[in-house]
Amino acid sequence: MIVNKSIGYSGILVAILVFSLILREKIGFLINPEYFWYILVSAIISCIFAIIYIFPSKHSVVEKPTWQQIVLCLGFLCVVVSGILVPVKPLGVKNVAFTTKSTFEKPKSSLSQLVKSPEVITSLGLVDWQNLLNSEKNATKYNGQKAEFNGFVSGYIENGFELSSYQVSCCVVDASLSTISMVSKDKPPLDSWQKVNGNFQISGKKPNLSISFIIDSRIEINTPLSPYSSKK
Amino acid sequence: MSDQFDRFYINFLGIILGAMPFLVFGVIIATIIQMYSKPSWYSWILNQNTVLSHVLIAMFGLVIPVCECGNIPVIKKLLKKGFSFSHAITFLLAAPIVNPITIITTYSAFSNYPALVWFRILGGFAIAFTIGMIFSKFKGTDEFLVHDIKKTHDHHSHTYHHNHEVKQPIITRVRDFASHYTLEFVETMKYLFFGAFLASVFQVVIPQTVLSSIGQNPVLSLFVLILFAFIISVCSNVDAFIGLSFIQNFSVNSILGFLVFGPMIDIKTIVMLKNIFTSKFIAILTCLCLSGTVLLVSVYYICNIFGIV
Repeated sequence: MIVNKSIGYSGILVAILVFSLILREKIGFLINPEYFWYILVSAIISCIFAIIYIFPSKHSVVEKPTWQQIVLCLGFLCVVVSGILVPVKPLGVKNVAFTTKSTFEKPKSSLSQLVKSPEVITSLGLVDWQNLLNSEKNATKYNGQKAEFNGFVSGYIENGFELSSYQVSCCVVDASLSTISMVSKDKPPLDSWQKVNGNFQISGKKPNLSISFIIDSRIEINTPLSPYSSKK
Repeated sequence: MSDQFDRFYINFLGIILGAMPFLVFGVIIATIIQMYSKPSWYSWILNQNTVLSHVLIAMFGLVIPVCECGNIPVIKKLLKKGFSFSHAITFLLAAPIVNPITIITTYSAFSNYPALVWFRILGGFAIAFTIGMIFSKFKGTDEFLVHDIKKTHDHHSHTYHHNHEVKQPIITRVRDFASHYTLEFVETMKYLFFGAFLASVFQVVIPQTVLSSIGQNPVLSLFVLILFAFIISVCSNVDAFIGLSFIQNFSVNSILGFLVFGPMIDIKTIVMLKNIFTSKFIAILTCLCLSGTVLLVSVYYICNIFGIV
């Protein structure tokens, strides 16, 4: 068997890129959180096979790499080094101009049966709420519903601020933005993550549906490790 | 500038990571084909008459559910294993659409638009079949293959089979598998990295919001979404959910164009296809896919006008 170590090292470097992003807890900034295990398993498989490939055996003939293979290996190395050194930032206010506003109408099937509850609903995120309210024929039935969710501050309005969250199908490339207006006396800093507690104020009908959230309390939180919702 | 770099950088890494599981799956399938498949397994399909064999190959994705990144190493191996050029092209174009994962995700995203789901699956099938049939009439299609593939395609890799007919110890077989896997993985990754780089540059240069704002015109919106599919280079297994996010701003016709053209041709795929085909052929293929998509969307539009769908 002919072994070309530079190719083996290239395979290992691709796996190292994934491992380094996982270890730095940055992978959630790049992909749909549901993909995490698939990516980890893919990297482990590729790494194991690459190690087996370069591991010497008595039947192996080690081939001298061509300059293209060395350049390729160095290219992968550069990406890995940049993956370790360059800060990976999650999508935030600065990316709003590059992404579409979410017009996702259909909520997850489990949400379509949600009934108004006197309890504070904490199980739904900002994106879930927006999808649910936009898909409901009579969204006003959720008027006054207490809820708690988080998001980042994406802008200011006259009587408060806008809280947003991105949702992704595959990775950040297809991210779309969901935003809900927050009625609040104070205005937290842009791009800061906030956990808000309050109730919905909904009026009008589609397409003039107006959704706002009256804040009872809010706390600033750290950026979550997986800041995006899955579109699936 | 710094914001644009950040955006470029996370897009670049995001595309690579998002494609990786599908690509690894495709490379594993390709390695299994390379090491264990025998021409007798699929020769009965290839030996059917031209029409039937292309129909069957267009449905091959139901058995080998690979997306557009994963199927490139697969067709490379199939070509080396004796698949004809037209059969390989049919598989290349059909597999990302006519496969169970894509069908399920499209249905779950567009269950309110069943006609769109059918048009995507059957339309993708029809385009792949038609383009395959066109190339089956061509002579000298081997000229469209890069030298490396052409050489092995000519010889059907007979020598390889002879090597593997002797029962090898398990450790040698694992080593062989690892060797084939790693060579194919690194080769495909090289193109994925470059494709992801280009797609990320275009994403920053042409923001999605610009595409959305010019997408209100019914005809223009089709081309805008086709261009968008071409630029974002997202996997066919999940693109239905992206298509769904356009439902309020774009016509259903243009979303159909997005769902049919994207899995066949995009920036990332084009760069990866350069590993197998010549640039001239890739340009011809892109034009044929574009024409097929526009034709399909026109049929859908007409059916809509007459209330058929």
